[in-house]
Amino acid sequence: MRSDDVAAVWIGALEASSDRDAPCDFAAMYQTWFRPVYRWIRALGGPGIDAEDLAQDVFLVVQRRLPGFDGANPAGWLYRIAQRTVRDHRRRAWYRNIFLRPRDVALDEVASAAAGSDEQLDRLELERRFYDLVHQLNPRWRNSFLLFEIGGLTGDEIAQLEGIPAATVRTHLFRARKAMIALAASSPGNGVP
Amino acid sequence: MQRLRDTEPDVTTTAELRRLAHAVADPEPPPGAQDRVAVALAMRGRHRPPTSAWRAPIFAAVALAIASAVVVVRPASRQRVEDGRATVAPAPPRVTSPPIARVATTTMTGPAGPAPAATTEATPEATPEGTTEAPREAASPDAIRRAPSLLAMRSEPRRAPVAIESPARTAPQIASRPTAEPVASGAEPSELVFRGLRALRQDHDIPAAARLLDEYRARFPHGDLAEEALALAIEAHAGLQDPTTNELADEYLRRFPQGRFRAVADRALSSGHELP
Repeated sequence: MRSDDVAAVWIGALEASSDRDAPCDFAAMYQTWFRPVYRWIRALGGPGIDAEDLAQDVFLVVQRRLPGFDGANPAGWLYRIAQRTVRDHRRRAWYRNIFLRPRDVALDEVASAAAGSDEQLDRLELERRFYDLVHQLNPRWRNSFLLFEIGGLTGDEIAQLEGIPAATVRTHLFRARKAMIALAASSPGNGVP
Repeated sequence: MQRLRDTEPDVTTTAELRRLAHAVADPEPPPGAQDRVAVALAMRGRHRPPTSAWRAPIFAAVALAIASAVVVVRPASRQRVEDGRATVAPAPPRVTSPPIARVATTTMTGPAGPAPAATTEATPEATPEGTTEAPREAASPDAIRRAPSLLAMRSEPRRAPVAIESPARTAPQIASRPTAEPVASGAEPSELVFRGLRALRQDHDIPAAARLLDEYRARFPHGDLAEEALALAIEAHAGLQDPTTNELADEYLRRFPQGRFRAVADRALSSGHELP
């Protein structure tokens, strides 16, 4: 079975649930943009995020808003939805932690422990420390920094997504890097292997 | 500008930062993620309720208040009209309505009822605090009949991602629809699920959907789409009134106790698809 056939099958399944009157084809958009959207969510959200669940939320919004989308700059449009979805998720998580008893153990930690990999646990710990530092950054620089360092995007690509000049992105990156170095130097875990 | 992970570890602080940046996993989606999300999207459709579960209790409270207000106001105003200004209704036993209903009553009698003076005169008794007491008859026949329906409508649990069709709706479709095209045994795993999904949702060919989904589950019990296939299989078998539906639902709850299609399994179990 060719992969095209498989794609045709699930595109058909998606079409069945999407708005046929929309000017843009949802299934094609999903196929083209799923991977970038997932990467943005993962980069912006950090280790404790269910990227698949959030990607689903993003595309549910896309499905709903597609009829009103003019088709210009789909990357920027999708990025804004993804960014808001991640931000809302974080906010909800924050409220949950306030009003409900927070989970003692994150689910991905359990999965790693089950795998019996000390290295993986160490890596998760370092990743968490990295994001702890990132969350202390100026919010205006944070997304550019994450998209560049973790998402692997270039300055121009970030400028297109964020809708700001490329020079501004470079400034954000420079300042964020400087702040991160200072934060890493002053963080309690610095130098601990 | 170089990325942190590409820089030379010559400066101590940069090296530390570089180490942290290196530890961050590549944000590449894992295998099967695209398919899983696609199936979930197709299963939920575009009418998924927004993530506002907190609104349900508010709606329920508002509905309760409205229902109580209607219940209290209607018989009282009817009696006022019948009895006229001079007649005083027989003193009913004192029943103090809950605070919400009281507020609603006071608000609604003003514009809706007769002239304010008449309202005051015809109202059986007023408490010292000035609140109008609700006659006991108000809480009876019409009220009790209406309130539960309103409540049931408003406090309806959040729509399950997958609606299990009632047998009455599905039965004729089974007979009239053609069966789905056969799938080669070497088909891609996700293809079976997507074909099953399409048969179930688009073509309404429930037997074919059940067959395809069962085939996937038999061949790939721990596949990327195992959870989705099991949830869809529950839906398909429920549509067929198959006695194995309960087993499938039990299996789902056992394997995915926090699964996102838990509502499907719960609904299947509560609707009791058992052997006749």
